[in-house]
Amino acid sequence: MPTIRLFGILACILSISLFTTVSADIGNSLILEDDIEIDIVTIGKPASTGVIWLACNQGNASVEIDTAKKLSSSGYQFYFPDMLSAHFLAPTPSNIDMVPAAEVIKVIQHLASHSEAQRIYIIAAARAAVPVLKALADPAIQNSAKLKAVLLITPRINKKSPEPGSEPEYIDAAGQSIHPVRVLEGERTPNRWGLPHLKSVLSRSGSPVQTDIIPGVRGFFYLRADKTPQEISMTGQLDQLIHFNLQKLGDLQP
Amino acid sequence: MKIKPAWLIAITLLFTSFSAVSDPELLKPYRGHLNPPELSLHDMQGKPHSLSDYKGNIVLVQFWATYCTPCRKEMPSMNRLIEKMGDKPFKIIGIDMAESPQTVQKFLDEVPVSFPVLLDTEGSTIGAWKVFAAPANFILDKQGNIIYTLYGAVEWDAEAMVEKLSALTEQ
Repeated sequence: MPTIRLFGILACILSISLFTTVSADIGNSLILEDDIEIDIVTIGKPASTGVIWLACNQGNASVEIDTAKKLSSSGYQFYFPDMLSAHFLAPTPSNIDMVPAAEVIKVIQHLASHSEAQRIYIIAAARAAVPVLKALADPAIQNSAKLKAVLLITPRINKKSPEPGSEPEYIDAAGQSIHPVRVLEGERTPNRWGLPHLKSVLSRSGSPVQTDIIPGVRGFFYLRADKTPQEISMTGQLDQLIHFNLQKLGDLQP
Repeated sequence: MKIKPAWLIAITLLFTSFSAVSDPELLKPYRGHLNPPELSLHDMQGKPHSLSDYKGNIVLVQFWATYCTPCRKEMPSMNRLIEKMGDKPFKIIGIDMAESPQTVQKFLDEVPVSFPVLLDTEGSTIGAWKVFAAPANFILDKQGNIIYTLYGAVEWDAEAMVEKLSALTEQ
């Protein structure tokens, strides 16, 4: 049994070292002024396109990491900043919106200035869209030449519980971005009916916004423990879904 | 056996939190501008329904979907609510959120309901009623105006809820 365990550990280390590149410039962590250390996992070799993926379950983001590994041979380098561990928060989707936007801003600035990528995209899913949109509202991020656009996957940015008969209320930062945004929503979630309103809110400050439906899945499908066969299938195709939508984002101009 | 005060508090809190899901205070007075909302849909048997058919009743309109786990859990309590309301002028209408009749029928075979389920296959009624979550509940007065809303699942046949709805039927 201990031999099997040791073999497993060695296999994990080998697997991580095969796919994880720690760039000397990017480093594997970022230490902020107040001694908060944010670990950054980099997947793939330096590439023309860098993708910052703010996983709402970072620390337990195996699907996202696997997806990044699949895409690393397609001209992408991925960066996974672990904003949750820095604050001793459990890797649960509800904790991510407690991360201060100022820290996300510093991470984006750090990665944008140290990455060899010519263009940077951000991906955020579910509640991780909250700190990302707050960061995008900041002028320092809006002036970043490298940051090109944002892909939000089944974003959950409500300010409070929805009230039947009223439009959803989103966080204030939702209408303060100028970067192109593409929103993907599951077909099997009531949130899909809010997409026209979400699009109008997100575009208030000039962001070009596109929305699309992912057929046959519920919200944050790839994070669910009770995936349906269709959701398992779509999770297996997450790399293609992201590749396709990042290309679509490339066509969007602010 | 002696129970420590901390345990007593924990047990009390536990029961309080469970009982909250049947609290009629969860019904929020509606302050929106959808009165009277449009509704003209067909049920699973193809029969047309419109709100005017229900005038003179207190009506619970619920938007739900088969993928909504809380909807599945609370539906039996809606059946029991109908039984408890007896002859009072009270009706329930379920509106499925844009799924196929086959998907809805499969669900209803597993979770039978004793109220009409209407199909909004294009989602036009969902949009008109501004529904962005499920289950989304509307309580309509006898004239068809929305008086309360409630988002999320509750035990509809809880005593306090039955009392509240019964009182509305007498107004």
